[in-house]
Order: sequence, then C-alpha cells, then structure tokens
Amino acid sequence: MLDINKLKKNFDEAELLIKETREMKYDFENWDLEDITSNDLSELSLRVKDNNKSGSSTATGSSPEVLDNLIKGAKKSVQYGEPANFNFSDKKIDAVDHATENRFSKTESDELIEYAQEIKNIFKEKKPDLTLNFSISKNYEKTKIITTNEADLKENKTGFTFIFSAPIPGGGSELYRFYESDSFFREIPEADINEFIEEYKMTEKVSKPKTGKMPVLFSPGSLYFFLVSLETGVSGQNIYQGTSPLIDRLGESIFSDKLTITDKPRLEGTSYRKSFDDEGIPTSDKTIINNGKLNNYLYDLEYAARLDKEPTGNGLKKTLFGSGIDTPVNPAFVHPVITPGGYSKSELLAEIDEGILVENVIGFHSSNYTQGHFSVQAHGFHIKNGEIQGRLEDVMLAGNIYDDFKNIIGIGDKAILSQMGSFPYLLVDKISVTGE
Amino acid sequence: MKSVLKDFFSDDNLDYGDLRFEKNNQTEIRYENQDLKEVKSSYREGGHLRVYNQGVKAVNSFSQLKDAKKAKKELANSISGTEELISEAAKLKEAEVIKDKHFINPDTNPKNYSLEEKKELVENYNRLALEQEHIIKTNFTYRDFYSRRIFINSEGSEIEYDLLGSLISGAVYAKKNDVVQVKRVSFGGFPEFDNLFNREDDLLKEIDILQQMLDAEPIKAGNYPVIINQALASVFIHEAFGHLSEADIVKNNPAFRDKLQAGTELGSDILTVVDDPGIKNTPGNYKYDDEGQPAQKTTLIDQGTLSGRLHSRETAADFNEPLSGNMRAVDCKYTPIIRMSNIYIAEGKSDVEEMISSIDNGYYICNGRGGQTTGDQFTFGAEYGYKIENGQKKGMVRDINLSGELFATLQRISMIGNDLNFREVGGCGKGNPMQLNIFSGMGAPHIKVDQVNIGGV
Repeated sequence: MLDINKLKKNFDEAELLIKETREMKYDFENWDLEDITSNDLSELSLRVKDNNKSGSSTATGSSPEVLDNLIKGAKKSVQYGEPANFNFSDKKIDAVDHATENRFSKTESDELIEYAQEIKNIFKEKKPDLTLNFSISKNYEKTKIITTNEADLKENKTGFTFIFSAPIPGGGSELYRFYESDSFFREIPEADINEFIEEYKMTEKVSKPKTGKMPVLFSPGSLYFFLVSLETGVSGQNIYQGTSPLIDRLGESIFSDKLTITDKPRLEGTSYRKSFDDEGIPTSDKTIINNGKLNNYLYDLEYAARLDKEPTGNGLKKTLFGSGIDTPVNPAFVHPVITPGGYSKSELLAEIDEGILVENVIGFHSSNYTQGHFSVQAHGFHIKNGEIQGRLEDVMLAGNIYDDFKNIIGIGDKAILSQMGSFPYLLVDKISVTGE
Repeated sequence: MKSVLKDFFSDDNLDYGDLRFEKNNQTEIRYENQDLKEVKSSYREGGHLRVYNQGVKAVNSFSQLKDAKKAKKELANSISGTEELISEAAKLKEAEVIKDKHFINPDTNPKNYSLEEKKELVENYNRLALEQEHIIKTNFTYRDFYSRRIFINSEGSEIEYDLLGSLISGAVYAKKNDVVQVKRVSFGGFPEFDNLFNREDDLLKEIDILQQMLDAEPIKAGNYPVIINQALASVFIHEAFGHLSEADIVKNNPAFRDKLQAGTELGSDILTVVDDPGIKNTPGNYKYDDEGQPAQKTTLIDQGTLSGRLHSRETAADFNEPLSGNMRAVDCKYTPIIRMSNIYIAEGKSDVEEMISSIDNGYYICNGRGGQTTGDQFTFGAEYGYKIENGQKKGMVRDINLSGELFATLQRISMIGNDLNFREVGGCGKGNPMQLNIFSGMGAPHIKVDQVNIGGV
C-alpha cells in the first residue's frame, strides 16, 4: 500500500485521493429482471509538486504494478507541469463509521428484491398494460485523502437508490421517479405511484401550445438545466477566466426576490453528503442566491489562490459530462437546494391559464449555457385553465436564465431530491415556447 | 495472468461465462489559455466477468485478478433465487469458438513519441488559437489511449486484442462587445498518430468561422426546410437513428420493437444507413468486440427500409437476427453494451448547390454542438448556419438548436448529397453508468430535411 513516506521520498509535496467503491444493482426492464451488476473497485488520484512544478496521475486497481505506475506517471508528468500556485490541504477529518458500512453490508440482496417486487405488484394491480422499468441498488464508497502537509481525511457513505420509469405511448421519452437515501427505505411511495399513473394516462394524447411567451411550471427533475447554468456562472474558474456573466455582480439582484439557493453539502439523509471536497477542504453550507441577490461564488484550491479568496470546499472531480477519478477538479455545487415557497403543485398548476408543465428538458448542453442561454426540447404537458391537456411533442423552450428567472410567479412547498440537488416546483412566467 | 485464466471456467456448471482482463494506459495533456493545466498519465488495470445461469445474467467489475474466482462464485450465488423474477430465460446466439491474437500496428504510434513532443504539439495549436483576434479563452486537450485486452469464455474462446487512438480536441472562445461564441475543433489519430501533425491551416479555418459567428444574427425560431452539412448529419444519424438500431435499447420496449421491425419503411428509397467496423483509419475500426465476436458490416436501412440491427449474442437470440459484433466496453470498470462502430448515411446523388437552390426560405445548418435524444425525440445544437432565401445562401446565423421526432424527420429527408465524409473524431455516451466511448465513428453526406423545428433564442 502507498503511504505518505513513500510519497515524500519521491516528491517535494503530494496529495493522494483513494476511492473504494462497492455496488450491487438489480435492473428490471419491462417488468422482468434484466441483469444483476456488482462492482468492487479501487481508484487512486495523485497530485504532486516537485522542483516547483506540478503533476498528476490516476490509476484503477491495487496491485503493486498499479501503484508503481501511479508513481511513475506522476514523475513523468511533474517534469512539465506549471508551478502550482496553491498548497495542498492540511486538514483532518475522520467521518468513517462502522454503522455506515453495516448499512451497506447488512442490507441483504433479498431485501432489495422484495422491495422491488412489492412495487412491481402494486403497479401490476393498478396499471398492468404499462411497460414498467425499475432498478434498485445499494452502493458504498470510502474516500481517503492524505497529503504531505499532514492532511488526513476519511469518510464513508452508503446510498440506496430506487428508480421506476415507463416509456410514454409511442415509445418516446420516459416518465420517471427517483428515490435516494443513505438508509434503506422500506416505505412504499403509494401516493407517488398513483400520481405517476394519473400523469402517465395524460401522455396518451398529444397537445401542443401555440408559439409565444407563457408561464412554465418546471418540475424538480427538470431544473438541473437552470442549476448547471448557474453553477458555471458562480464558478471561480469562470470568474477568473472572464467567461462568467456574473463577474463583479455580488450583491446584485439577478433573479426574482422569491428565489434563494443554498449549497448544502452536509444535508443529512442523502448519499450526496460530503464532509470534505475532492481536495480535502471541509465543506459548509453557502447561500449562493439570497432572495434573488447573488451572494457567493464557488472556489476550489486553484481558483481561490488565483483570486486571493478562501477555498469554499467545492473542488469536485465533476463536470457536466461526468465525474470520476480521471475528471480534473473544478468548482461545483455539492448539493444545491432551492428554498421551498408556499404553494402546492396543484395551486401552481391552477395559476396557469395557458402554459406548460415541464417534466424534463433535453439538449440543454448544446446551448451556450455558460452565458445562461437555454434552447431545449421540453418533455411534459400542455396546460389550459389549470388542467393537463396532453403530452408535449416537438416543443422547444428558449431564453436566458438571467432574464427569465426574474419572472418567478411561485415556488412549490417541498424541495424534492432530484439527480443534482433538492428542488421544489418552480412556476416562471413569460418563457418563450415554440409550439404550433 | 494466463495461469489464472487457464481453466478459469472449467469446473463450473454455468450456462455461460466470460472474462475480460485489461491493462489500459492513457495520457492527457490539457491547456487552458496560456496555462498547461494538466499533464496526466493514468493506468487502469482490472477485469470484468459475465455469467449466465438459469436464464439470468450477472456481471461484476473487479480490480485484482486474484479476486476473479471469488467474484465468479458470488455472481453464481447472486443469481440463485432470482429465477422467479424473469418470465423468459435469456439465451445466447450460438457463436464460433475463436482463438486469435490481433494487434494494431500503426506506422506512427503515440507510444513512440515522448511526452515532451506531445506537449509541444498541443501547445502550438493552443498558442496559435490564442494569437488570433477576439479570442478570449482556449481549452485544448491531447489524449491517447491504449488498451490491451484478453477475452476468454466458457466455450473455449481466447482472444488477445488491443485498442489504440489519439486525439486533440479544443474549444476556442471569442468575444466582441457582449457576444461570446465558442467553436470546437478536433483532430483524430485513429490509429495513425501523425494525423495530428501540421493541422495549423485547419485550425485557422475554424477560427475564421468563429470570428464571423461574432457578427452573425441569432436564428429566428420556427419550422423550416434545412440543408444539414456532413458533420451535423453524421451526428444526427448517430444520435437520432443509430441508438434505436442498438437492440438493447428496443429489446424491452414493446412500442419501439413494434415500430422497428425488420422490413418497416422508415424513409424514402434514397436513404441507406450502414454500420461498418471494417473501415480503416476511423475511430470505430476494430476486429473483435468485447464479447469475442468478429466485427461485421450491417446495413441498418436499405433504400428506406429497416434491414438490420446491432446486436449482442443475447439480443441476436432474442430477435432471431444475425450476430453483428457490436458489444463494447470503454474499459474494465464497465460491462459491454451494444454500440455503433462507424455509422454513416450512404452517399446520394445531389450536389450541395442543387440542394441549396431547392429552398426558398430556410437555412443551411453546420456542425454539431452536442445533442441529446430520448426515444424518438431529438435535440441538437449547431455551431452556425446561413439563411437561405430564394435558393441563395445569405448571411450567417448562430444560437441554433434543432429538435424533432425521428420517424417523421427520416421521412422528410428529401435529398442526399454526393459528398460522404467521415468525422475524424467521433465519440458516444451511453449507458448507466455512462460510458464515453471514443472508438465510435460517424459519417454522412449533406442532407436536405423538408421541415425541422428550430428553437432560436
């Protein structure tokens, strides 16, 4: 195994990140078990400084050949790297506990299968003609960071996810629901299943709005396009490089005063929780948008140093197109949360005379999203007089978040865990829609 | 390694098993503006095991070969008791037992060039881009990937093979007044490394277009007839149609399976679409897939009619269609899934000028800027385009996103150019977890679509 002394022997300074992951997943397609997937992997990322230059290497595996290649790779790389302008972490956190490991190893596969079976049976009874897909999984991740600055941080996490979905009639896009928790959920989300089936029935007919500006109700699952766009705006990297539209705008109103967004990395109950980022900097809650006003930027070690700021614990190996050991560190949200408002979903729907409910957007990354632009295909429903008319087909939304999200009419009363963070429904007025 | 693999499956009562072990080396050099942001080498070693028993499939990725036997036992255990969760047992199409070794031997191999030489190569392109007018930011990455693989299965196949590719990809940002535009540039070495050399003129041509984009008008939203250039038509056929020809996408979706039966008319008789792993010097060229099957050319649409599909052994049995050799995994962390090799629209008969002159009010749309599909719905960004008025190509437009429904759009392809061109760098994302595969190529001639929905800003 690699220890800090071996790194000290080879380099002036070093930072080693080790991720060990285990996973067990059951995938069901069209009601039947499709496959069983399990993983047991070890991944390493090494960043080093030597003779005032920096270098890095990554590896998967744990054999002596792997560790040897990791060091050799960093030695080759450090001959060319620019001088690093920041210091590796010197923090210490021990957030490993056996209870977390036990929640993974003591939850038997049979329990996962039984839960999935129970949900399947409910669907079979209520809507047997559906093409139902679902998957259930448990995963475990142990992260450790050590540096030659005496940093020693470790954390373990267990997560359980359950997803069910159905392709809408005609076989096009899917309606889905997503659940995630750090402990195994035994409760059956029966109310959600009923709502899902009702919504599914409304997909049987196509109904298109007229082209024009209209209110749009964004579901929690569709709001990632807004958050990713905002994330690039508040990224210290884009501030430094001059490509963010939010440079020198701290304290300014950029959205409706109804909107507050906080990055909550330590939110209990989810496996997104992080006590420290991928550079060993402790995380903390940060209000990014406070009643519409821009309140904070996100910094990793590098861009904090370049801009003479403190790192915010947002240095993550994550980009829009993926995450993992090979992804370089970037400033990013850990778990953004939009503060809920006072309206139920049905109250928000009732506000719409002519508009749409968006369940998902596609193609957003092909817009100029770093500047806030969006031009996306909307999947969801046409709404008239507060009622769902039918599913959207070939309908596009276009605009700029920094113009359009000034017009928020109302915010849902519940932040719902989605794939990027926790968001309520959001009703936004005057969005440009290309329909009929 | 071979001692562990010898007789690996001999003492089992499995219906089928296979194991792939890999050693992967990757180099990445990344510039952002003037800064050399990263010079990184990575080494990934590990294996992937697949087991079929009692009609159920179970797979496992592991880091150490010494864990493989234990993993195999655990997979067999994980299957027991799940028989009641399936209504039909999975079967595999019968296949030949193959014992072979096949390695790529390019004239110019990136492994014979130093890190210093690779760094200078990307540094020069980055510097050249930064020197041009209005450029505010650059992002250039060099990447090479070499994977040495061994595949064995319980039927006696044993294949050693490799994958090799190198590429340079860049994003160049320009700003004038308040307008920021970005243009992507890429050069591919599949497998010849020297294809990345001496590309300065190509880079300057792309930057010239970027500078014109700063003065272009945003496109007006609406429904229009369009001419789509080769680069974007390649992405269209890959994203919008290609994925639906992958049998694992439609296997368990009865509505699609019904719509996509062999013999269904999908377009007019001018449209032919092919997947061909045998085309040399393309990203998707290979001899064996990661299920030990020989790579094969498959005609997917033959003169408008659906005529073939991309398969694994399991889906080929399920659909009762021929094997195609399209099961691929990006590395040892992942299970193989069905992927396109080099998909392309076959050449037609029209000149591009003739195609443009056939439109009174529409657009000529160029180069992909990312796309996404779900089912039969697609959305693509385009980098830039030109207004077409009364058959004439007019001023440049930008901020273009197109969307539509696949089956209607295929029917609306009314002209196909005589200028088939393959992209140097392809790439494809699929799967959960997402597998980003650089060994995926695509090509097309110009095409005319009578109507698409354009969402401007």
